[in-house]
Amino acid sequence: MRTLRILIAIAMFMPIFACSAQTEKKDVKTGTSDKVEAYYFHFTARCMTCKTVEAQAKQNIETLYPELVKQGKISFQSVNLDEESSKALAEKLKVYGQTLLVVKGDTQIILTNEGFMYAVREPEKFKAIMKEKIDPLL
Amino acid sequence: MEFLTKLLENSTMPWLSAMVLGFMTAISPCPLATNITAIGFISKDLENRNRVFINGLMYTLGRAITYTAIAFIIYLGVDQFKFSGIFQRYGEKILGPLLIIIGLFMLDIIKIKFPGLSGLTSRMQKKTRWGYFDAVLLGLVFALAFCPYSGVLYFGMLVPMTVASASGLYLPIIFAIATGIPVIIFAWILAYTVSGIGGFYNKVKSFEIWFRRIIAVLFIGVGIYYIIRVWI
Repeated sequence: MRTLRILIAIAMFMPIFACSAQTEKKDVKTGTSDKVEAYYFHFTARCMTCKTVEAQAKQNIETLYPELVKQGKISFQSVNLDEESSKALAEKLKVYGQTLLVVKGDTQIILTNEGFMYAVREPEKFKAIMKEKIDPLL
Repeated sequence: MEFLTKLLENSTMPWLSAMVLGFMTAISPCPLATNITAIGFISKDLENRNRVFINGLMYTLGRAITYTAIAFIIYLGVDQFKFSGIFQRYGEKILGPLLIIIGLFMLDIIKIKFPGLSGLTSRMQKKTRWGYFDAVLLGLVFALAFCPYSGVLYFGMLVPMTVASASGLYLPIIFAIATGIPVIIFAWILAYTVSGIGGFYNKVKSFEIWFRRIIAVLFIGVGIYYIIRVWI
């Protein structure tokens, strides 16, 4: 009876483990160089907020790390997923939808949620979050 | 909006977060076009305000079905990013043509049966029998049409919260109710005021037929808007 109870308990918690593993899929291995690359992936049809997120992210990188941008050690790129040319990159980085992504070597940091929460109304906060997340990569 | 963002940040209760996300989705300019068509569709039964209210509830039920089903499929283990990408890619593209087809149906253009308005009136009587199914269907379809902003709110914030544990599967229902409430309120106000004007002229019935035609044109207009937005 006791083993049965334990088995039931394990069975009940299994999906929780399975799913939390899935949502924490943020740090995926990609295997590129030492360069920090920021990407904004989007489709052709875009909203006001989406455009703001992209513009803010680009501006933040340029103002936070002006030297590194000049040296080519950090870059920002906007990628349209509806265009054929983006396919290889999207597949490599495992991106399927609208995403603000920072990549360095094996590390991937997704900043989409933060962008959509703060880029429009609290751009300074968004900038601080970007700095906090990108600094350890440098 | 700022108030909602603050509320979301400080919320420790998942149900409150789900509700706030729902309101943010409902009032953001992004899904406004579908909300306006939904308001029109729900308030089309001008004569009976209770019906307008129930239509609104059924529309919300449709949305709840879609949101829960998607979250449940992801909970079962489908790749969340891949799955949400499909909706982001095709949702809005299908919506435009679909709205135009619904509009043409409402105008009776697809099934032309003149002389007289017998086709339209008999259909209206039939409606009461299989009644609210169309409102459920509309909610179901409109919830599928994620625009970029609502896509992030749903897939980026609500779904991770929902699939974190089995007990979170009620959250999409709260989210759906929050997206539906503004639509219900506006539909009710619209039906109340317009039927008031109609009642003044004592011609509610013929007024209602014209009102439905306006709604149909609205569907076609919004459909064209989406096609231009997404395809051109």
